[in-house]
Amino acid sequence: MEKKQENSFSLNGSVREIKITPETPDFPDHEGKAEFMSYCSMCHSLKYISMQPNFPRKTWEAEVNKMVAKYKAPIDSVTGKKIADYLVAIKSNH
Amino acid sequence: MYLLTDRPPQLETPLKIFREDLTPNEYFFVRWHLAQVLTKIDIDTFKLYIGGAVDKPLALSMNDLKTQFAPDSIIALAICSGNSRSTFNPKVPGGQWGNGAMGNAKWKGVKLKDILAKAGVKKGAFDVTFQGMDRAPLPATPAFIKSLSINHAMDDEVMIAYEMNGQPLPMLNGYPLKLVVPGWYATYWVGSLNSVNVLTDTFHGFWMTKAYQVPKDGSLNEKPDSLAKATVPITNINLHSIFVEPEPTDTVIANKQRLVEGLAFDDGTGIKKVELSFDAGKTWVETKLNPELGKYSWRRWKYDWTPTNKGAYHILVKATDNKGRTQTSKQWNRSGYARGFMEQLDITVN
Repeated sequence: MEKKQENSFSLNGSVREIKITPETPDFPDHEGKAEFMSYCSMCHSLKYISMQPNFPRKTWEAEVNKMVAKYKAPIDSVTGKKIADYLVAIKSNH
Repeated sequence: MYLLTDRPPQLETPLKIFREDLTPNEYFFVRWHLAQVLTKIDIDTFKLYIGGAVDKPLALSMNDLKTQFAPDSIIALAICSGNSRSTFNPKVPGGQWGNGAMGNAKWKGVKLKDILAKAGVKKGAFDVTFQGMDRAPLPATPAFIKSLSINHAMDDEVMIAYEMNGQPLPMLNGYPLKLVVPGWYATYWVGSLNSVNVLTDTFHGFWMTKAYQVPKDGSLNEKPDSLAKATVPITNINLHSIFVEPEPTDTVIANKQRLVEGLAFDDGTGIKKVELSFDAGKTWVETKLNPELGKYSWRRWKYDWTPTNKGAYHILVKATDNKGRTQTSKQWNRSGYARGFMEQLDITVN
């Protein structure tokens, strides 16, 4: 079993450093994928999305709104709709 | 470990690790909120800043903390507010944790009250804020700052830890310092802590007033179509119990004794008993509890089970605390916090 992802830990005198390996999951092609992949990775890994179960449109729209309203993501309303539509396309029960 | 996310890192502990009293540091769960976590530090130049409404602001080095203050030690459970979120029904967005966003450790450090006493808390002090060295990529994203009331901050239990299970904290778990708030969810256990600020007013930061909210009535429960109107910050660890062994996919043989074990935990009130039901809650049998490791430690329970019939079993586990409170069978809230509804182990006996 893998140990924690402190997979590269160095100690040089009093300086301690770790290296974390980034991971980007694959996502299906749908309209809005480019906007999703770029805007949604500004602040966090896209694994935040790939680990979610399916949600209804209402939930995805609320999540996108939260990113803008609460966390100040620089996403205008047109782009926000494209991203929400993409999330619905890939992670909702149609 | 199970990697939920890499940036910021969130890692979950496999269940079998919970078959030890203390969770090894290299398998301890990881949860950060902001992508720019601390990845490099020179401990010789590190300072813990104590400021605000104090007589004498302090800038304490790690050496100061280890030599100017009496060391304090506590065994305490760290558990994510959203531990077990993926088990909520209907599902809710957020970190899709199983039961592994928690860990029991022996923490060593300095009582916060000793540090605040050295700085001299001014009259009129109301809240104390805590911030670490993690940062968001966007300047406008709210900084991760948590607060405690001054009375809570000055109690005998809140600690600034510099060691975990006898070792310096791993950087993913908050090196060099982590706030330890025994009995409260780990959202308060600020990692890479370097700033403590005494306020003379209520702290209104995002991560205290907008995030980490639960229904005000204390039930930790609401319905999707009638969400609680009023909310308050999450605080005490809710009474809960889980199965650790066997896991649903394990092989169990009929007429052969099998050890069933698990954990029970709460906010320090104390576990009175942990019971199992093999008949959907009609009757209960008591498990054997391991000795207490401390008020804020989890409590391990064990039961020797010899199933006589083959087939599917649905076993419930229920903890009762020293105040007589026990677990419900149904609970939900919009954020997937503070799971307390009984866990059921579905397992086939061959």
